[in-house]
Parts: sequence; structure tokens; C-alpha cells
Amino acid sequence: MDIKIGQFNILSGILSVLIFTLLSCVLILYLSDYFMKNSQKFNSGNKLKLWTICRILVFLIIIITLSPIIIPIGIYKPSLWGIPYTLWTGIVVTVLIVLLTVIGAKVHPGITK
Amino acid sequence: MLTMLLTIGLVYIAILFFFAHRVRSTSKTTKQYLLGGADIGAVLGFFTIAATLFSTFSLLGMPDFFRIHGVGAWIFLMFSHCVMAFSILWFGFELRKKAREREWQGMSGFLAYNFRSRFAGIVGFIGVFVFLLPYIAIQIRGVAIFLHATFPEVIPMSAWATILVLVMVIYSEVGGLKAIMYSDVLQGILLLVAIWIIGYNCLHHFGGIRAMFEEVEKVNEALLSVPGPKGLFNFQFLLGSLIAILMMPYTQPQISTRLVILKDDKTLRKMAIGLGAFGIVIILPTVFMGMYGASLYPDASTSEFLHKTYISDQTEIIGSIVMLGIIAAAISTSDSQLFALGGELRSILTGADEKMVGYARIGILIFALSSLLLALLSSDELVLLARTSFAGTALLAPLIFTAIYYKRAYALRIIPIATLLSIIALIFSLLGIFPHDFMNIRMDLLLFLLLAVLAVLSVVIDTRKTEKG
Repeated sequence: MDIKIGQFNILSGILSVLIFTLLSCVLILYLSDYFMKNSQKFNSGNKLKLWTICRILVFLIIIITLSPIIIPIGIYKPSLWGIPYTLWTGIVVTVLIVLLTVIGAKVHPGITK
Repeated sequence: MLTMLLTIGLVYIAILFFFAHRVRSTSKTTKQYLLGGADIGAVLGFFTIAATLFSTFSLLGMPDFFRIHGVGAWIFLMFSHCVMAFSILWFGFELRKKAREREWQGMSGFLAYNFRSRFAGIVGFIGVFVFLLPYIAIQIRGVAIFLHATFPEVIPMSAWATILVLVMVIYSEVGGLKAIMYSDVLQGILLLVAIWIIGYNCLHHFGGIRAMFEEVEKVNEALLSVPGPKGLFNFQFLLGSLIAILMMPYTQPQISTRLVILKDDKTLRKMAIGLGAFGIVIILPTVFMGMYGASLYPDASTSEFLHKTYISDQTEIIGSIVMLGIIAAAISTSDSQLFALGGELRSILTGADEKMVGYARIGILIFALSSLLLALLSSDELVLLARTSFAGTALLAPLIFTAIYYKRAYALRIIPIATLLSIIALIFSLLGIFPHDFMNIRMDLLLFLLLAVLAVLSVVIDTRKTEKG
């Protein structure tokens, strides 16, 4: 799907919201992990929920990344510190996946010992 | 330069053989020789999997890919790689759990056991043999053409390729998997150092990231977005690549074996995190190298670009370190893959263990010679050939996942047959006998989807049948 420059402002707005939401989710997950661990409420049921959330988030990020939101055809602006659009957003989503791997490793219900 | 490279190279080979001698096991059993004792810690596990994944493909292929096809290469490789690292937590854990039911010898043996069919094991072996051997070959070729381009007067390309294969065969035959893993640690460190020195120098040439992309914009602005100047990075290519790379830890035996022989699940967890982070650190400087090439050498051939960027534009000592990093990367990944093929062969053989390991060792030698022959005949498209290898082995994924997740896999004999037919269809498509795509869907993607649907339907039908029965 080709996206024209005029339409792109809306998309970049959506993108910002999505990335902000994702980052917030990551932060919430991480904090909840921290608090649950400290309050000794980190049982297997909670772990399973958090692990499911992690998997859903990864799935969502994949969909966003393979959509015109991250890979708009022929568009390389807005750039960030000169880095073309697809590259910097690509780096952001990649780092998000690594963060979710860190969280996933902590909340995976099967990995105990 | 040749003298310096020979000196550093000899030191490197001496260290390799020192490792091989130190960890060499007198017991040539499957567990000791082919599985490295099956008790691998987090650091060794992380380095060995990272070094197996990031090879000449990253050091030689990716900068050229960025140079020719642009920034979409990040999504193609790096994003897919990190999703793969996450998936290791998920499927890797399940694979390990299932593999514990019986002593692990290799993925082909695992398939044969779970499908209660030697044919399923043989299909697994054919899949990895057919698609892994060309991958080994292109790595050997990649380094050999690079060495030949740097020292055109010394020896022909075929002689460089032969020397590389000889070193890796002798070394891995002597030391077994444990020795290969120690060489992976060495290679991982060398690769990281080499790639960052060159990456930094390339960035330094422009004076900063902003200036670098401004320069590239002047040369060819299509490089700054997808699908890139040649239109490669379309949705289907990126989706197909994501699936192929995502499946690698389960469909490429050099990785699946390493996942299974990790000490415990906690080690798996640490390794998955490290792998994702390490990938970003390794691939980021290849962006700078690619943009450097796009700006300075846009029309050069692959070997010219690599030679200029890695050697001519660097000081002698850096050039030598980089060259050694490239050689180390090729040796490390290729011997892991050759060894994995040997392990796969062992896993479908039945008989006295030490005797079967002996056959596997002869197999490794034959595979090495075959890959040398292929290396002399294959083309120079490193990354695209590697991707074909990933996509080819990905066809085994529905078969493998059925074995992991479905207890009654043995009742689904149609899946190994369908997998074999798909492998044949993909080979025919690559040879141009069958079309490359069908109704605008790439053949590799289509075959993978068909197999996945068949596997899911088979499981659903069999479950219902069992419940009724």
C-alpha cells in the first residue's frame, strides 16, 4: 500500500500513540514484576498472565512493524537525528522486542530453575 | 600486509588447536563428542549460539545488503532476529521439555522417535542437508573470494577455500563440539571488535550520523526507505524472512542442538536475552559500513566494495584484524554446521554408539568435501543464498512443531510425506522448473503456509477422532 505524504501526519500520530502505549505496557509489566516479586505475590497464575501479555505485545509489534506504519513505501521522513524513518522506528521496535524478552524471561511460568 | 595476516592467523590457529587439544575427549560417544558433554553454561551457550548465527553473513553480507538495498535490511534481519530471540523463551523451552523425554542425539532422531517413523527422521535429515550445505558453501566462498581479491597474486580462490575447509575439518574432528564452542567464544569477541572498528571508521568518515544519511540521500534516496532501489523489501519478502529466521532455532540443527544441551532453563533464559542484545550491537555498525559503501562505492562489485572498505581504506593492522575476524567467523559457523550435519546423520543411525559416531565423523568429512565443491561453483549473492537456506529449512518447522506439541504425532504420517514433497517443490522452484511464485505469493511462503495449515488440520482431525474413539 502506497502512502502519500499528506496522509502521513495522521499515521505518524497513530505511530506515536502506539509506541507510547507499548512503552507504557513495558514499563507497567516491569514495575508489576518488581512489585509482585517484592510482595511475594508472584505466583504461577500471575506469571502466566504476564507471559501471555508479553506474547500478545510481541505479536502486536510484529503486525505494526510489517504494516505501512513502520515500512511506508518510499517515505523516509520524519527522520530522527538524521536517521531515516524506517530505520529509527525499526530500531525502536527492535529494542522493544529485546525489552519484552527481558520481561518474558522473568515471567515465563515454566522457567523456574 | 600478507606477512602480518599470516602472523596473526597462525597465532589464531595455534589458539584453536590448543583449545581442541585441551577439551579433546578420549571418549568418542555421542554425548561427549557430538554434544560437548550436554552441560553448557550461560556464557559458553550465548557465545556459541551468537557466533553460529552471526557469521560471514553479518560481516560480509549485511554491509553489502545495506549498500545495495538500503535501510529496510534492518527490518529484514535485525527485527526478525530479535523476534527469534524472544521465541527461544517460548518454543525453545517447549523443545527442551520434549527433548528430555529421551536422550537427545539430533533433530532427525527426535523426529524419527516422535513420529515412530525412520522416514520422518530421513526427511528431517534431507531438509537440513539440502539447504544447509549451500549455506556452508557460500560462507567458504565468501571468505575465499575476499582473500583472493586482497591477495590476487598469492594463490587462486580455490586454494584459499581448500585451506579453510582443511583447517575446520582437522580442528573439529580432533576436538569435537566442545572445541568448536570455545572457538565460537574467540570468534564472537573478534567479530565484535572487528565490526566496530570498521563501523566507527566508516561513521567517522562522514563526521556523524546526520551527515552520513544526508550524503546517502544525495547519491540515492531510495536507499533510505523500503522497498529499496531494487524493490526487494516488499511485505512478502519481509514476512517470509521473518518466518524463516524465526524458525531457525528449531529447523537448523546447529542451533537446536545447542538449545537442548544448555545446562538448564535458566541458562536458556539468559542466553535468549543476550542473543537479542548482542544482535543489535553486531548489526548496528554494518549500517554505517553499508552507507559508507553506498556513498563512496555505489557501483562497485561486492568484492571490490568489501576490499576497499575493509582493507584499502584501513591501516594495515586494522585490515589484518578484520580479515582474521572474517576468517574466524567463516570457520566458526561452517564447522558448527558441518558438525551439526554429522550429528543429524548420527541421530538416524542405529547401532553401537561409538561405531555410529565413527560413521558420523566420516560423514562430516564427506559433507566438508561436498561443501568445498559447492563453494567453487556457487554464486556471490551471500545474503540471498543464506535466506534461501533459512527459507528451505523453515519448511521443516510444521513437522518439528507437530513433534514438539502433539503427543500423537505418530498418527500423522502425512506430514513427513508432505514436507518431503514441499522440499522437492521448493528445489524445483529455485532451479526454475516450477514458478517462483503462485498467484503472486512467493513459493517458499506458500509452501510453508500450506504445510502449517496441513499440520493444524491433521492435529484437529486426529484429536476429534481420538475423542470419538
